[in-house]
Amino acid sequence: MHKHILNELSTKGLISETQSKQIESYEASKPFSLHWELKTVLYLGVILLNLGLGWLIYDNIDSIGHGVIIGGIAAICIACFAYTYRSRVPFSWQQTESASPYYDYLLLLGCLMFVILEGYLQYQYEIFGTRYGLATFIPMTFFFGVAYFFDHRGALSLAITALASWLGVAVTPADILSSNDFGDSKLVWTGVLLGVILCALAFFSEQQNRKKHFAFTYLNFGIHILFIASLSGLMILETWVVFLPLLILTTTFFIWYARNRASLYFMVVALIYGYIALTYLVFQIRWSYTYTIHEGDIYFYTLYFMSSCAAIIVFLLKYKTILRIKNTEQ
Amino acid sequence: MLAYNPHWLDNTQIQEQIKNWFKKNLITQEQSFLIQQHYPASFYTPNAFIRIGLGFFAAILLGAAQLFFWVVVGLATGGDEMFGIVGFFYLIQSMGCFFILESFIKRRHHYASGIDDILLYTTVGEMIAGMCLLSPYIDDPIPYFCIGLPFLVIGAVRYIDRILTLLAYGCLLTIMLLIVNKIPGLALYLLPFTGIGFSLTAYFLVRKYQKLHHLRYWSGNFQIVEIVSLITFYLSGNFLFIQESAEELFGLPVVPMGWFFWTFTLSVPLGYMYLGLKNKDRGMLWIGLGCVAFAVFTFRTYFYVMPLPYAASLAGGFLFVLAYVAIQYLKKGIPGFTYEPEDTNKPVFLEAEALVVAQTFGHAQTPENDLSFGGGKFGGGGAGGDF
Repeated sequence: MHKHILNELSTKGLISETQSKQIESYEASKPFSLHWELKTVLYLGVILLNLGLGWLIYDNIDSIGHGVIIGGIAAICIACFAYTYRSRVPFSWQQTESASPYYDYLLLLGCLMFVILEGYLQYQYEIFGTRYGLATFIPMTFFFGVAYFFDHRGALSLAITALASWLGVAVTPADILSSNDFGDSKLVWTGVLLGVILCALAFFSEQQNRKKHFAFTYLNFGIHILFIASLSGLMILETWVVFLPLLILTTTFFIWYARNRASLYFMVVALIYGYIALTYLVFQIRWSYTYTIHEGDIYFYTLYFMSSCAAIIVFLLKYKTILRIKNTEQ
Repeated sequence: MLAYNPHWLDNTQIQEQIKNWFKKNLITQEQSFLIQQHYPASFYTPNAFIRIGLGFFAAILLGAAQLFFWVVVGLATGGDEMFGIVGFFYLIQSMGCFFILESFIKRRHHYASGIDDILLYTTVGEMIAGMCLLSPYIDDPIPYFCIGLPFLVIGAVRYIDRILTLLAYGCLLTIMLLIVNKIPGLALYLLPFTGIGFSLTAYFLVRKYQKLHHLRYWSGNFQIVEIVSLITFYLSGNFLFIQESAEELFGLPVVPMGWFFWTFTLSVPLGYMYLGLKNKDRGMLWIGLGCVAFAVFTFRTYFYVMPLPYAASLAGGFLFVLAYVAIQYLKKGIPGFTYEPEDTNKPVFLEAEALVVAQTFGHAQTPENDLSFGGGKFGGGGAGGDF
């Protein structure tokens, strides 16, 4: 394909003959990058090791061999941190280059081994007794430390997950809906609080220019937990007075955020959650007026969906003009 | 034949290429600017997330509009009698979607905007559904697949759509397999080889077409067929797949020619990896990686070597060391290969990458939950709300 383009450009005189030759030789000698392939293999290796070793301890918990396995896991954990500590790049509040291709993955492996070890010690010796809060507080502080010290977004994700479970909320994508009982008002409020904290942390890291690139991870966990908690507040607790303004505020905040940071992911996510809230409200209001299902209701509902979706589509098509975003190269 | 303006399609290609060469300092900024001016393309192609959002809301809008249409018509004709002409309504709706789709492309220049995607799938889906409902009932799936195929092909070609290409490939392969399955006595032996033969033919045809300049607009479609034909080729000879299908279709506990399928299962993934590296074919390399994993899974299903936790730990360690050694070798320098990432600094890529990292790493803490130390009340992922 590039040969045809080169031909076209040089016959039109848009590039010189020598440039055309240069580009051709560049295209011909361009090496084949195995970057993502090898990174995937490294990542799979870490995942499998974590699964296998974690399972191994569980299987051998009462047998003689488990001392060896524990020793092995501790050794791996220490070795990982020793390697990353020795080859680390000097601390900076900015994003740093990884010291080596394996650096990130060894650090991640170290963190995961730490979780396994801590779990084992608690199970076998009950080092934290029944103070379960402490058992999640320690890995949380440890992971936050690791994330900031070594500049590692994976450790940051682990830290946020630990922070959430310290507060009593599950935030991993697979569990956020299944493991949380959002009928419990305490949990809903904790979720809202956690979401606000995470969004504030994201905001802080951008404003203060302290690990700016962590903002996305904070905000990504924050937006989902905040919206899901407020939606359950609206639908299950039915505390409209509080959660309706909260939802409007949050949606507006993320659209404003999209305007300032040109982050369209958060805008689309906020629109979808906001739309769910709006739809729920419309159905509730309609229901409270009639209390029965009328023949004409189907017209009302289909027309509602058609007009509301059309409005959002128009917004998405024209968001640059509506939000007065200057036309920059996307 | 194309719904989209072919000149603009060419120009987007040129613009992409120019951006790339400019990043590599092969052309100057003024040249890049001049060339962009010289080859304009006014497609409306939004950011990937906006595309998803537009698609999402367009799908709801279409669903509601159709329900509205049905209610209006259903009330007008009076309930039960309309059931017989459902197929007819599907055709009308399909035509309606088709005209909206064409006007979005012709007047608003939508191209991969989310709206044109959803409209296209609705048009094709309802056309096929309507046709199938209108045709007399036959107790045999083949005619229905045959009705669907031309619409899938037309949609894939006219709108350069990859998902329809994939469906068309699957449809044609299914027709072939269903026909061969009717041959009495020989079906059992012929089915795997039909799959193998079909995939090979598709692969080599597509490789040939990809080199033809006048078919350049469809290179994305050819790429999809290339990848999916590699997958169906492997599945057609994979022992696990064959064994399961033989048991399902013919009630056979033991497959004939087991040695052939075992050789196939274990050698093809390695062949893919080798050819992928040798020809610098990224698609084949990735499929090869996937097939190796599936081959290991197949082997484990029939031969017990060691308990799963040991296997997982050893495999994990092996993969890590393998990647380590490979990177070391690459850093020393192997002609033609590099560890440096290819420059794809598009914002969409960066955002998507960060998303994947956040989601999978965050999730990596949950396996601990499976151990259920202390009843899952402490530690990572799924702690309950009771403290």
